[in-house]
Amino acid sequence: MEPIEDLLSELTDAFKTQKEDLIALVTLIDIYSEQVDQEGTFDEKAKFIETLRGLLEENPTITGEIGWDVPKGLLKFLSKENIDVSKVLCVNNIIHGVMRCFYVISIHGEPKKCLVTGLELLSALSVEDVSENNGQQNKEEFVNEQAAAPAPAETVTKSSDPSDSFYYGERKNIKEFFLTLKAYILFEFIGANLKRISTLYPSKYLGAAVATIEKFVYDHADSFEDALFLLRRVYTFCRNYISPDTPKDIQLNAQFTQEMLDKVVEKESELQVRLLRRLCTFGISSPIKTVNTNPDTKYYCALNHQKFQPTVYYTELLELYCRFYQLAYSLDVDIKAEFQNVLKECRIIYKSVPQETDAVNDEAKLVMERMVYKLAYTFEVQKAAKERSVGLDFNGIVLFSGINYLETNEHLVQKITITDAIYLYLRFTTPSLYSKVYHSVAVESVNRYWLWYAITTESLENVKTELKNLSVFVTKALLQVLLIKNCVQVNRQLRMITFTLLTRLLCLVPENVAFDFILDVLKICPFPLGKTSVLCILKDLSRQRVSKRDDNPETSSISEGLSKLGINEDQKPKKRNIKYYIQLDPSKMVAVHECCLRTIHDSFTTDAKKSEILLLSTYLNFLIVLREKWDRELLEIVYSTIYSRLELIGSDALSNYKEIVDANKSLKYYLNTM
Amino acid sequence: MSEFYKLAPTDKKGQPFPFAQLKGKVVLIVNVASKCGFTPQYKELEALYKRYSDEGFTIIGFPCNQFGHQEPGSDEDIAQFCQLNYGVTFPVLKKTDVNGNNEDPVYKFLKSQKSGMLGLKGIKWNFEKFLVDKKGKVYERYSSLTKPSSLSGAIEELLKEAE
Repeated sequence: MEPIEDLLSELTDAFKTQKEDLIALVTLIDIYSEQVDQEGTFDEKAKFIETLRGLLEENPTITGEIGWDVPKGLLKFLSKENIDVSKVLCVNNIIHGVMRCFYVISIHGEPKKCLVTGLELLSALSVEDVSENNGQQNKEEFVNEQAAAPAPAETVTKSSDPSDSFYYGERKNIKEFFLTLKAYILFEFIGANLKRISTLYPSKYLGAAVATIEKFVYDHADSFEDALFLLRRVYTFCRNYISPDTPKDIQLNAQFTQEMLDKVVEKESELQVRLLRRLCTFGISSPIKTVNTNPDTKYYCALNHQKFQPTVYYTELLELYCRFYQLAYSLDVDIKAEFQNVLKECRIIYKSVPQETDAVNDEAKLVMERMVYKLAYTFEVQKAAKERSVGLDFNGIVLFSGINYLETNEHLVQKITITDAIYLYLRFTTPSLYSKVYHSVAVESVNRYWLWYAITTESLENVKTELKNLSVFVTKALLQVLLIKNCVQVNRQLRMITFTLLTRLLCLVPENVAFDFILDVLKICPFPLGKTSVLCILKDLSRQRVSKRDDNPETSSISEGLSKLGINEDQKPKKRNIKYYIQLDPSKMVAVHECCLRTIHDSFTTDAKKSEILLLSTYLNFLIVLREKWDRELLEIVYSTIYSRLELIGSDALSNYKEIVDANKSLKYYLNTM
Repeated sequence: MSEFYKLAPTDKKGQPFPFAQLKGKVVLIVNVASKCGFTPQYKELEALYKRYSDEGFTIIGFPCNQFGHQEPGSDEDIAQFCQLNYGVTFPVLKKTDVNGNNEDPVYKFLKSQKSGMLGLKGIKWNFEKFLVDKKGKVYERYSSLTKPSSLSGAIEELLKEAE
C-alpha cells in the first residue's frame, strides 16, 4: 500500500476532480477503503475514515449523490481485526469514525436511496465468521498484557483510563457483538433517513422498514443470547419514529384538491399507525420467545404470600417490557379490548370441538383427540394465508396482558372463565408442536398465569361445572400439553409451580377424566419425569379428601384453595364414606398395576436407563404409601416379580438397583405385617 | 360550560382540585417526571408561569410514572424535588396515569379533544403539553420536544381573547 498520506491526498483530490464522474469517485472510495482495511495499520484506518467523513461533510452535494453507496464499505471496517472487544468501544477511533460517517450521510445523503441501502444491509446482516478460538486468543492476549504490566497501586477497576477497562464479562459472544454493533448503526441510519424523506406516502417507506426489521428480528431472535438488544432496537425505532411533514411543494389544482390531499394524509396516518402497532406487538413477542416472562411465578408467589424476586437480567427485561407496554398505549392500542378479541378468536377455534360421547368408536376418538391438537395450528396457517392487511401480532397482545400484571399488580380483565383460559393456553401452545415458528416460552408463561387466575378467582363450583361441560378432548389436550411442556422445563421452581397447577386442575376436572389422563401418561408418556410426576399426583389425589368447601358455591380464598394442594400431608381416612379426588377401585388398581409391571420389565433390560429405574423406585414408594388401600395380591405380584428379576442380574449391575432392593424389602416387610 | 371545568383531579394532598376554579384562565397542562431528559423543562415552565400568572395564566403539572418509570417517588418527594431544583410554584398535583385503563379523567378529556402525531390520542412521553383557552377549549397539543418558552406567542394570543 502506498503511504497513507499520499492515499488520503489522492482521495481528497478525487472529491475535487471527479465531481462530474461520481461513479468513478465511488469506485475510488471503494478501492481505497478495501486497500486500507486490508493493508493499513489501525491508525491508518482510523485516519482514512476520518478523512472520508470530513470530505463527505464538506461536500454535501456530492454526498447527496453518492452517500447511499458508501455505507457498505464502511461496515467492513467493523471487524475483529479492527476492534478489540475487550476494550471500551467509545475510545475505538474506527467505530467512532464509522458512526460519524453514517451520521453525515444520514444528514446529506439522498434519504430514499439511503433508506434502501440501510434496509438492504440490515437484511443481509449475518453473524460474523469469528471463531470462538479467535475470541479466546483475543482474551488471552489481553490477559497476558495485563499480567505483564506493572501492578497498579490501586485495583484495576479504579484505572482512570477507560481503555483499560476489562469488558470481557459483558462481551463473551463475539459473533453476536459484531452483529449487534452493525445492526445498531443501521437501525439508527434507517430511522434518521425515514424522517427526512419528503413524500405524500410515508407509509410506503415505513412499511418497507417494518418488513425488514421484522425479518431481521425473526431471523435472529433465536440466535441472540441476549434478548435485550433486539427489544431495545425495536422499541427505540418505534418510539422515535416521526412521520415526515407533508411536502410543501404539493401543487393543488382541480385534479388534486385540498380535500383530496387531506384524505391522503389521513389515510397515510392511519397506515403508519397500523404499521407501528404491528411492529410494537411483534417487537415485544418475537425477541423474547425463549424467555420466561414469569407472570405465573409472580402470581403463584402472591398466592403463597412469598416474595417474587426476579434476577437482575430479568429485571432489565421487565423494564423493557413495561416500555413496550406503555408504547402500545401511546399508539392507542386498547390492550384490554384486543385481549378480549384474542379470547373471542380462541372461542371460535375450540367451541365446536365435540364431546367424547359424540365419537362413535375408538378410532373416531383418536381422530378427534389429534384434531384438537392441530386446530390452532391450522387456524394460524389459514389466518396467515388469508391476511391481507397489517394487523396486530396477537402474541404481543397476550404478552401485554401478562406484562400488565407484572407492571401494575392488577389484572387486565377481572374475570376470565376457566374455559377461556384453557382455550387461550391451547391456542398459543399447541401450534408449536407442529412448527417451531410458533414456539414462545414467554407467551406460555402468560397463559399459565391466566389458568392460575381462572381457577383461583372463580368459585370452585363454577370451575368444576365448566370443566364438566368442557369437551374431554379439550381437557385432555390441556393436561397433556401442560405436562409435556413441563417435562422439558429446566427451571426447577417453575417446574414445581406448573406441577402444582396441573395437580390443582386434576382436582377440578371430573374424576374419570383425571384418572384416564394419569393412566394415559403412565402408559405412553415418552418422558419418565412425566410418569413419575403423575404417580406422585395420583398418590396425593387418592389420599386427599375432597374438601367440603369444594362443594361450596362460594369462592374459597386463594390461600385456602392452595392449601388443599398440600401434597405431603398424610391424611388417614377416619370414615368410610369419605370422598377422595380419585377414588381407588379394583379396576383402577389393575390398570396402574399393569403399567407397573411394564416398568419392572423395562427396568431390568440390559439397556435399562437410570430414569427407568428411578421410575420403578417411584412406583414402589407409591405402592408402599398406598399399601393399605391397594390390593394385597397385586402387591405380592409386584414384590415377587421384582425379587425374581433381581435374582437374575449379576452382582456388577446390582449396585444400580440399590434403591429398588431396599424398597422391595420394605414392601415385603409391610406385606408381612399387614 | 366546557366539560373541562367539571373535572376535579386530586392534588398532592389527596384533596380535589376542581377545575371550575380555572374558569377564565389560560391553562397549560403538562405530564411531568423528575428523572427524564426533559425534566429541565421545569425551569422554562416556571419562567412562563411567573411571566404570565398575573395575566390569568396557570400551569398544572401531572406527575406520571408511566414513561420509563421516571417518576418513581411519592407525591411528597416530587413536590420537594420541584421546589428544591426548579423553584416550582405552579400546582403539581397527585401522581397519576395518563394512558391505559386507569388514566386520569383529565387526560381522557384532553386526549379526546386533541390528537397528537398521526392522529394518535395516547400520550407519547413525559412533558407533553396541552394548552387550554379561557373557555376551557383545548387550543393545542405539543410534544415533549416543544420547549415551553416557544409557547409564549400562543399563550399571549389566548390571554388577549375575551372570556
